[in-house]
Order: sequence, then C-alpha cells, then structure tokens
Amino acid sequence: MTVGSVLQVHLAVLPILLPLLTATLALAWPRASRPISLLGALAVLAASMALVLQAAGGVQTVYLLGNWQAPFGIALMADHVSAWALLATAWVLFGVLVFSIGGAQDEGAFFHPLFHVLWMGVNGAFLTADVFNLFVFFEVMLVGSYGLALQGASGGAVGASLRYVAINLAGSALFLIAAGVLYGVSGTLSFADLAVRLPQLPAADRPLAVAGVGLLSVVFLLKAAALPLSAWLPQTYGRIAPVSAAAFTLLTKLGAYGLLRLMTLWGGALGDWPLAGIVLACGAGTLLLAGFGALASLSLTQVATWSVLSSSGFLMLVFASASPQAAAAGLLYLPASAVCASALFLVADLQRRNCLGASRLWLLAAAAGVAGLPPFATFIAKLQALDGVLASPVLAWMALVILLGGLLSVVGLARVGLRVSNRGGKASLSEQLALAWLCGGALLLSVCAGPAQRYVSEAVTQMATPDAYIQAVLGQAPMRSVP
Amino acid sequence: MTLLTICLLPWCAALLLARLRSATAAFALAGACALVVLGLLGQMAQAVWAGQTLQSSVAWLPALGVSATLRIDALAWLFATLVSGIGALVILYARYYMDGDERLPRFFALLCAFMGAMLGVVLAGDLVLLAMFWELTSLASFLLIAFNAPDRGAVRGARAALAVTGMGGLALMAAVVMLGRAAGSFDLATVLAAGDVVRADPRYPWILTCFLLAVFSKSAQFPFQFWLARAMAAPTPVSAYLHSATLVKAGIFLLLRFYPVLGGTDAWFFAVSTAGAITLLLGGVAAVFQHDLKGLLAYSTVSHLGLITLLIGFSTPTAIVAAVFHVINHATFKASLFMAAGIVDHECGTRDLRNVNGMWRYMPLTGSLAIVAAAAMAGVPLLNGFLSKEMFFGEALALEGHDPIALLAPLAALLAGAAGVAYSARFVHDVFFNGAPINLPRTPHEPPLWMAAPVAVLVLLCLLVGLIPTPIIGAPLAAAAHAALGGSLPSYSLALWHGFNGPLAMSALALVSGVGIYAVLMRKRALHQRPLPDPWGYRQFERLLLTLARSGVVLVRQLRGDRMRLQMAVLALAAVLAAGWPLLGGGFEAHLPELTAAIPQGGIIVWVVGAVFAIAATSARNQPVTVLLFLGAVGLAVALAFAGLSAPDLSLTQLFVEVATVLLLLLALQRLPVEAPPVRSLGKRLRYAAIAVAGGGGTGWLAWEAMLRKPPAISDYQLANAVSGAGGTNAVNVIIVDFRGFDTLGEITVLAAAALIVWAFLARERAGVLGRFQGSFMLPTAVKIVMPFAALVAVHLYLRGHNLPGGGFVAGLLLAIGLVLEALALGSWRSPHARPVRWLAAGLGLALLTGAASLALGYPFLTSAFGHPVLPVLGEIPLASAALFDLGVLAVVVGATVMLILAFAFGREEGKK
Repeated sequence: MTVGSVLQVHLAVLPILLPLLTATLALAWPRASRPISLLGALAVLAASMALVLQAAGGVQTVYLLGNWQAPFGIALMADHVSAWALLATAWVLFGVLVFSIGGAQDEGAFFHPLFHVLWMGVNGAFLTADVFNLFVFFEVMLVGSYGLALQGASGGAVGASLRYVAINLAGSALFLIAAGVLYGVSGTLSFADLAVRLPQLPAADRPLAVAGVGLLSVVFLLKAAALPLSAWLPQTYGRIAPVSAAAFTLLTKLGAYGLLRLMTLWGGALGDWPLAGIVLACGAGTLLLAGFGALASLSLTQVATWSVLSSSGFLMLVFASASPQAAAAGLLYLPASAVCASALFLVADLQRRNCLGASRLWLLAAAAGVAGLPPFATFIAKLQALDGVLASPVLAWMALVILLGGLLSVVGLARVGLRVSNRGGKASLSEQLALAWLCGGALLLSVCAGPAQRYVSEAVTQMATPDAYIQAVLGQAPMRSVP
Repeated sequence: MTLLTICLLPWCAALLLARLRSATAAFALAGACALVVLGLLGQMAQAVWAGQTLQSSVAWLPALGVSATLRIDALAWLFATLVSGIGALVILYARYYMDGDERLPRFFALLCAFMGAMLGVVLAGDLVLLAMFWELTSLASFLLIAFNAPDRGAVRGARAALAVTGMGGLALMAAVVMLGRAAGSFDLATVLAAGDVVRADPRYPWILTCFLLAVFSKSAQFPFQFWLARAMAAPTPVSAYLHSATLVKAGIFLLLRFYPVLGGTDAWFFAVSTAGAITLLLGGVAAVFQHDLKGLLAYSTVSHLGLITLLIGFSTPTAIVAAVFHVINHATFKASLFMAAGIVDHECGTRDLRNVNGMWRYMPLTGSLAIVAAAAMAGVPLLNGFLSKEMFFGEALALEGHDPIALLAPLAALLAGAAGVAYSARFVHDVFFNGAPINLPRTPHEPPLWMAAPVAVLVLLCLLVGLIPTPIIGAPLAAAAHAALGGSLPSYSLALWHGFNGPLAMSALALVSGVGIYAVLMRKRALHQRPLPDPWGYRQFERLLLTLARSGVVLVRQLRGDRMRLQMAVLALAAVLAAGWPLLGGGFEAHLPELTAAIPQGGIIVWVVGAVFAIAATSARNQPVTVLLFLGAVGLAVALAFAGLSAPDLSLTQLFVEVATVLLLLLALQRLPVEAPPVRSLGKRLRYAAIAVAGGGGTGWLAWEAMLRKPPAISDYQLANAVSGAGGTNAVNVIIVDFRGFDTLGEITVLAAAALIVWAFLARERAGVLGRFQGSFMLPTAVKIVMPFAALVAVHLYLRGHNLPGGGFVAGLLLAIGLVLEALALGSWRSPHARPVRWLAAGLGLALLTGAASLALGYPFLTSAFGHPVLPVLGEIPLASAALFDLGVLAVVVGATVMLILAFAFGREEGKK
C-alpha cells in the first residue's frame, strides 16, 4: 500500500492529527518551530482542499476512530459542509500564520504549538459527529484561543482575555450539562444516533431532551455571540492583539455551524419548540447591533470586531431562514467573510505598527470584502441571500435587515477608513503576501462562484435530508481485515 | 471578445497604474487605455447604429441563473462613448491640472478603475452584473472624492457620497433580485422584453420603489441632491468626469434602460416627474446663490439632471428622445465648464466667485471657451443646449392629462430656464468681468495649451452640434433613442428653426428674464453679500448620521463587556429559560426524589457533609483561601461518594485531582489581590440570588431527572465488549483509552496547552511564589527515600490500569506530585526530572504515534491491538497497544502538573532548560 493511498483512506482524520503533530514537533524543537509550523500548515491546507475535492466528488467520508462502529465509538463525518468549513479555516489560519511570521509576531512563548492546537480544535469541531467529542474539540479550540489571546497581552488586554476565558468556561460547563442531559435521556452521544433516538423517546421524556437541546443551543448561541450573549466578543476581539483576533474569525462561525447541524439533524425532534425562530430573531438582532457598533467605532480593530459579529448574525439569520437558497448563500458567505474579516484585523495590525501608509490598497480590499461590496464573494452571497429571502413574502423582512445592517456597516467602515492616515511605512513582503492570500481568496471565490455555488447548494440539499447523514454514520462498518 | 476587452482593459490599466511611479508613463498608459476603448467603440459604431445588439456571454453563477453577459446596443454605445471620450479628455486635462503631484499614477489608476466600472454598468447584459458594477462605481467615486483625504471637506464629502450611493446600491440589489424573479430571468434582454409581466406583478410597487431609490440617489435627485454638492471636494478633473458627465448619468442611464420595463405607469409618471421637477427647480435656484464656482456648477448639474429625469418622467417617446439628447449636450458643455472652472482655480489659487473677477484680461482664451460653454448651458441659440432645451419646453407644453403636473410643468420649465440663464450669466459675468480680482494668492495667466485643449474640443462639439445637429449627432441619437424606447421611434426634428412657436417664446422669455433676474440680484454686488442658501438635505443627513452613531455608542455601551457578573447572569438566565421552557411549559411530570430508596444508606452522611461545605463556601466569599479549603472538602466528599457508589476509578482520579487543584489554586491565590466585593443593594443581590438558585437548582433537578432515565445506552455495549473487543477488564479505562481514546487525545492536548499558557503567561513574572527556596536537610533526604516508592506505585497503578482501577491519568498525577516534591526539595529547577516541556512533547508524541501505528496497517487511527504474551518469570502479561497510549497520557499529566505547580512556585527564571 502506497503512502498516497494510506493518506487517502485516512484523509478525514488528517486535519485533526496534522495540527497536533505540528504542535508537538514545534514544542519539541522550538528552534525549528517556524519551518515546522509552516510545513504543517501547508499540509493541513492540502488535506482540507483534498477533503473538499473529495466531497465535491460526491463522497461523504465517515471515519470510525479506533475502528469502533458508531455510535459505540467516535465517528468523524466529512460531508460537504464540514469540508467546506475546514477549507475556510485552513485558508484563514494559513494566511494569519504567514502574516505573523512575516511581522515576527510569532515570537511569544509557544505561539506555534498553541496556534496549531487552535487549528486542531476548530477542525475537530467541524468534523466530529459526536456530542461529547464536540465538547472536547470546543475545549481544544478554546484553550488554543486562550493562549493566542494572551500572546503579548498587557494591561487591559489581559483583563479582556481573562474575561473571555471566564465566559467560555461557563459556556463549557453548560455544554457539559447539556451533553449529560442528552446522554442521560437518550443513552447515546452520536449525532446520528441522537437524531434517530430523540423522535422515538417516550412523550414523558421528550421535554427533557428538548431541554438538553435547548442548553446546547444556548452554548452555540454564546459561541456565535448572538444578541443577548454578544457582550464578550467586542470586548475580547477589540482588545487583544489584532493578529490573534484575525485567527479567531472562524470561532464564531463554529457557533452558527453548530446551530445549523442541530437544526437540521434534530429539528424534527423538537416538536413545537421554536428554535429556528429564536435563532432567526437573535441573528437579526445581532446583525443590526453589529451595524450600529460599526457605525459607532473609532478604530479599525473595532470595526473589524463588529464585522465579525455582523457576519455571525448574517449566518444565523440565513441558516434559520428555512430558505435553501439563503442557506446556500450563508455557506458561500462563511469563508468569504471570514477571510475578509481576518484581513481587516491584519490591516488594523499594520496600522497599529504604523506600516499601513503605503499599503492602503489592502485596507480597501478587506473593507470592501467585509462590507459585501463587489468584486468579493461576500457580495454574491448577499445577493443570493436576498434572492432566497425575497422569494417568499414571509421572509421579506429579512431582506430589509440584511440591507440595513449592510448599509450601517458600509458607512461605519467608511468613517473609520477615512481616518487612516496616508503616512507610515510599508508592510513586509510576506505580510503583503498573506493579505493577498486572504483577500485573493474572497476574490477567487467570486470568480469561481459557479462551481462554489454548485457545491454549497449540494451541501444544503445534503443537510436537508438528514437520513443520508444518519445512514452514512450508523451504517459505516468497521474494517474487518487489512484492505 | 471586443466587448470583453473594452470592459477589462481599464481594470488592467488601473492595476498596472497602481504600481507605476512615473507620472509621464502613467499618463501615457491611462490615455492609451481610454483611446483604445474609444477606438474599439468606434469600430462597432456602424453596426450598433444600424440597430444591432452585440453580446458575449460566459456562464458564471448557474445556481442563480446568472451569467456574465456583456451586451451593447445603441444606448449603451452612446454612454460608453461618452465615458471613454470624456475620460480621454479628462486624463489629458488632469495631466496638467495635477502637474508635479506624485500621486498622479494613483489618481489615474482610480480614474481608470472608475472608467472600467462605468463601462461595466452600461455594457452589463445581466442584472446581477449590472448591480455589481453599479456598486463599483460608487466605490470608485468614494475613493476619488476622498482623494485629498485628511482634508475635512474631502472626508465629509466622501462619506456623504458613499452613504447615499451605497444605500442606493443596496436598494438596487433588492430591486434587481425582485425584478429578476418577476421577469423570470436576470438576463437583460429577457427582462427588457418582459415589461408587461413585470408591470402586472404584485411586486411591481416594491421593485419600482427600490429601483427609483437607487437611481435617484446616484443621479442626485431630490431628496438626495446634497451629496453632489459635497462631492465637489474632489479634484476638479473628477468633478468634470464623474460628477457632471458620467457617474451621475448612471442613474439616468438606468432610467432610460428600464423605461420599457418599468415605465409607462402612473406610478412611474408621478414619482419620476415629481422628483425631476423638484430637483430641477431646487438646483436651478440654489445654483444662482452659490459663491463657490464649483458649487454653482454642481447645483446647475443637479438642475439639469432634474430636467432629464423630468423628461423621462413625462413618458412620451419624444420626451425620451429629448432626454437622450440632453444627456449628450449636458455632458459636453458641463464637462468643459468644470474644466474651465478648474483652470481658473488652478491659476488663481481660489475659486470663490467673490474674489475671482475680471479674468477676461488675464485669460481671454479660457474666457471665450467658457463663455461659449456657459451660453450652451443657458440655452442660447446656435449651441447644443438650445436644441435640447427647446425640446424640453415643447414637451412641457405638450403634456396632456395628469392634471396637476401638466399644468405646472410649463411654469416649472420656464422658471428653471430662467434660473439656468441667471446662473450661466453669473458664471460668465462674475468670473470674467465684474471688476478686478480681489486678494488673489497669485497672478493668473493663461494655462498651458494642452490644458485648454480638452475644453476646446468639447466647446467645438457644442458649437457643431448646435449648428449642424443632424450630420453630427443624428444617427447615434436616433439609434440610442430607439434602443431606449425599445420600440418604434417617434418623429422629431433636430432643425434649428421650427418657426415662431411656444417653445421659442419660452426660450426667449427665459433668456430675457434670466438676465434680468441676475442683473437685479447683482446690483451693487448685492449677490456677493448674500449668505449661502441652506444646503437642504446635507444638514439633515449629517444629523441623521450623528444620531445613528450616537445611538450606536449608547447601544454598544449597554453590552458592558467588562461586567462579568452581568454577562454571567445573562448566560445563566438564557440557560434557565432554554431548559425551563420545555420542562415547565406543561406536559412534563417531575419526579421528586424518594429519600429512602434512591440513595445508598451509607453514603448519605458523606452527601450531607459535602452539601454543608458547599454552602459554607458561598458564605465565605471574601476569604478566598477559606473558600478554597471548603471546596477541597466538597471535592473529597464527592470522591468518597464515588467510592460509595462503586466507582473506584472516578474516586481515585477525583482524589488526586482535588489535591493537585487545591495546591495549584493556593499557589495562584498568592498572586491574586484580594478585594472586598462592592456592596450591592438588596434588590440587586436578591435578583442575582434568584438567578443563582434557578441555575444551580435547575441543574440539580435536570441531573436528577436525567439520571432517573434508563434508556438502552451505548455504555451497555462498551461494558459488554471491553474484554472481547479491547482486551481490558476495567471498562472505565478501556473507554478512556480505547472506545473514546480520541476524546482523551483531545483532553490531553487541552491539558498540555493549558499548562503551556500558564507557563508562557507567568514568563513575564521573574520570581515565583516561593522565591529561591534553597531546601533543607530533611526534605531532600525524605524525598530520596519516598521518591522511588512513589514512582513504583505510579508504575503499578499505570500497569494495572487496563484491568483494575488505576491508569495513566492517576499514575501521572501521583508521579507528578512526587516530582514536584523532589523539585521543592532540591530548590527551584535543579531537579533533573523537572523538564515539563519534554514530558509534554514526549507524551503527546507517544499518544499520537500509538494511535497512528494502526494507520500503517490500514486500520483507522487509534485502533488497538492486544495480546497476552507469556514471558519467563513474570508469567502471562496482558498487553494492549492502548497501554502505550495510556503512557502518553501519563507523560502529559506529569508534564502539565509539574509545569503548572512549578511555574507558580518558582516562576520561570530557570526556564531556559
């Protein structure tokens, strides 16, 4: 068996193992941590791309860890949505890594190991098909983010980071309670098995299961910084080092992703509990709040922070809208907005170091991408979302929310962007390359919007039929002999 | 292909220009780009005038039914020619206007980008593409207005322009989406043919509203006219190009383009003509009273745009012809006037009409050109402006039906005509005559010849069109009007002389009264003393923006990110609601605990002791150490309870974790300042207490209810298969290292990373809590004796883990505590085993390698193998590959614990190791 075929068989687990391997090696050989980290990042990027290609080819990869059949062991599921999110993560984190190295901002203690731990956590959370394993990867991701948030932090940033840790610990505790309730009431932890068992519960137990799902959705809403629970995000992202914040743009997406999975897989078991309606309201509120926040911002970091919140709100809105077209638009929006928001944070970092003067083109590109202006894919995604929500009169109010939020963001960005002085030096080559990588990603996505849209609409179709997911996970047989 | 070149060439030029340094090279490139586009358009002219539509299309967004289609017909051709032609002239002009400015390449890059965007708007054959280029024109305009960015006027102008046109862009997005759905396609040709369907669609009012919002905002129609006056902060070439000739005509273009689809209804008539009429009058009157030369021209542009809009609103075929004609005429004379104004500004250093007087003596050439152009603007016969204004008067007189507007239209037209004459007169008289210049920063003289050349070209066009309209403009005008109408062309005449008729009388009246009005106003220079008219709209806009920003600040402040207690309360409340709603919403039967049956009798004392300590911990919240000790006691009670409930593994682990945690927290507390919490009001305390009770009590109840359920669980399978499937009799350990080994891998990663963070974070602290503890005689000796035993017990616990209570985690904790003791005894980091980073790396590496070993055999990650080899002396040894994984766990636990405790104890001064 060649190395290539081994890699292909285990492709689904590589986005988790490779960052861990990289982190371990970088820890063991601190002197060589830069090349190790870069090579590892490239490998994860390649694996994520391969997974997207594999998914596009129609393969839903289920990976049984320890060769235990689901639901008895842990299963990973690399379907369209997971692979897509992985690629978005890889794209963002690779760019941020190159930027940090270019600006020598990776010299804090254990930057590279912690960076890859974060990456591992995000990837694992996107891939796993098990509630408790999701909790574990949330923890992995969070611990990585704690580390990055504290990188080079001083004064107010330390306080902000510690508050971030505290609120997330509370969230983790809730997650654990939710997982415990779900397990207690259904006796299983696998997403797919829960999807089978929840609707079959006796009526007396149903409210308990709904309570568990409700707690879980509170956790996801917290992670997505939805409106009543948004307070942690601006005060964290706005105060920590912008490079760290740039690496965090996908963490909120994780919340929206969790909600999407939860609604599609277990939505049927919730009875008349209006989860989608709550998410919709939270999303709309978050989107508008972020618009006002952007308008009130006085610095690039702040406006970038609000743009993260804005994209989170947008995603919640379209994912809960019950319009397949809008949900597909959300999936298209996810990577595009993440790369642009990261680029904006990096630009803010350049400004902080007085290196922006000659590189303001990047500010323009990142801001246009964040604001949903052409030629970036965020524009196409917004248009598609409008197309989706305007198709039904019931959802038309969402178009107004999306447009209003967009307008407020545009004006806020313009207000801040116009304050940027044209003095100052120039970004280093690798920093420019990183920005080109990020902004170019959003551009590439709009140039290749045709195939991308086909991919995301397939993803939405896939999510709309949870039975296929359930059968794929539960039906995957462990290996009997060496293939 | 040609279309694609036309569309992409300016963008490529813009990208190249952004990299250039040399002004000359930039000028050559930008000029060449405009000329090539113009040439390519010229090639198509004959075909397009003959009524052909050229199209090229690439599939782009199949999911939306959108393709990247470029399409040119006579209307698009006309606008594209205007854009590239005036673009070429403006580039020549800017070369001299901004001579010596090092930002010239960037300026040309932006101009070319705008040209590309504008060409995209007119050539787009697909609604989505159109909306996209439309946004790009707004963006380019924003950047060009903001060109002198730190300047206050530029910043404000750019902001206003972006806010207004950005709003319009979003409205267009909505309009386009709805229009596309109503017409069944985003393809422009299909949409143009689907007028009847669209007008009958229930969404038509919404489509029209959004569409007109977009169009009016771009073309500075009432109530959005204010941004155009503010946009005058841009360099003059920009004003000449974008804000008179092209960008603001984008809205007009869209009105003309979609006239066959959306036009012809009463709603269209009233909305478009009302906005046009108001804008026409407002702009005309405001222009007379401006003191800024460019301000005057800006308001006159507003007025002329209103005129064109009004014509389109009239919705008659001849009015559309007049509108198209006036678009051309206005672009020529207004661009030349702006350029002339720029020359005056450039040469005088100011463009205040109260200072710039009597220029005729200094620059007769510029003066004569400007006078001809201004006459065209006023509608003086023999110039192009006269012809289209005649047509406008004719249309206003011919209007039938639509009562109020039909009556008012001729009056409004006459008023606007008079105002047009008045501001044109003021432009000519105030700048070139009216005494001598006052307080000029420098002495003016004629500009370089090449700077005046573009003005001359445009003025020549005004003259030619005015004198011999049909040969010069007849064919393209007819073709464009035909394309705009989408049907048959009405009969009209471009002749200079139609005999004595109503329009001629109106023209004459307007000329006379306009000059008269100006003469009266300017008597004794009275006009110069008048304050500027209130810039209606702009103040309201600024106020709105400020209000929004302020409410944003207020809103954001409500979030109070730094108030941890509030955030936690909100989170707890959300959780209580989420879990409580389904449970209390009805239909759920609570099970109250039955004290006698549910709890093991012996354990009850332990439970009570634990509960008492827990309550005690809350009461002592001002003394952290006390709280910690109480919590430690609670932990021990839990460990005992686990033992009582026959969970020895959990009990053992809990015990060690508790010891390590309390130790760690005690060290950490040394560093924390202890502050008395602020005294809160009783109500507040009660509120928080209620949330706490609801949260804690609710959790307890939830756990109780969940534990009462006994569904068939996956743990049954795991219990049944621990031996046969994984070779271990301790199911807990098998779950940890095998069934759910992947979770464990994640958890040890968390542990390692958490330790690294503490380590890295404490790195900034030089000294540890214990300072330089040099050790005593007793402790090292004791450690020397105890250490081997601790290690032995650890090895024992580890080895038996797979089958009996124990395992890597517990063993690791034990070993770590031993190592910490050793380190303490030796003082600081001199202990040979206290190298936590290596422990961590080795542990993670070992766990990973063990897991990955199965990959080589083709099995998934973490697949375990086990066997029972019989070794000499030791006998049968139960061996599982998972044990190696467990060894990794052990190493990470050792590394993390040692790292955490020693980092607190000693700081990192010897961390170099």
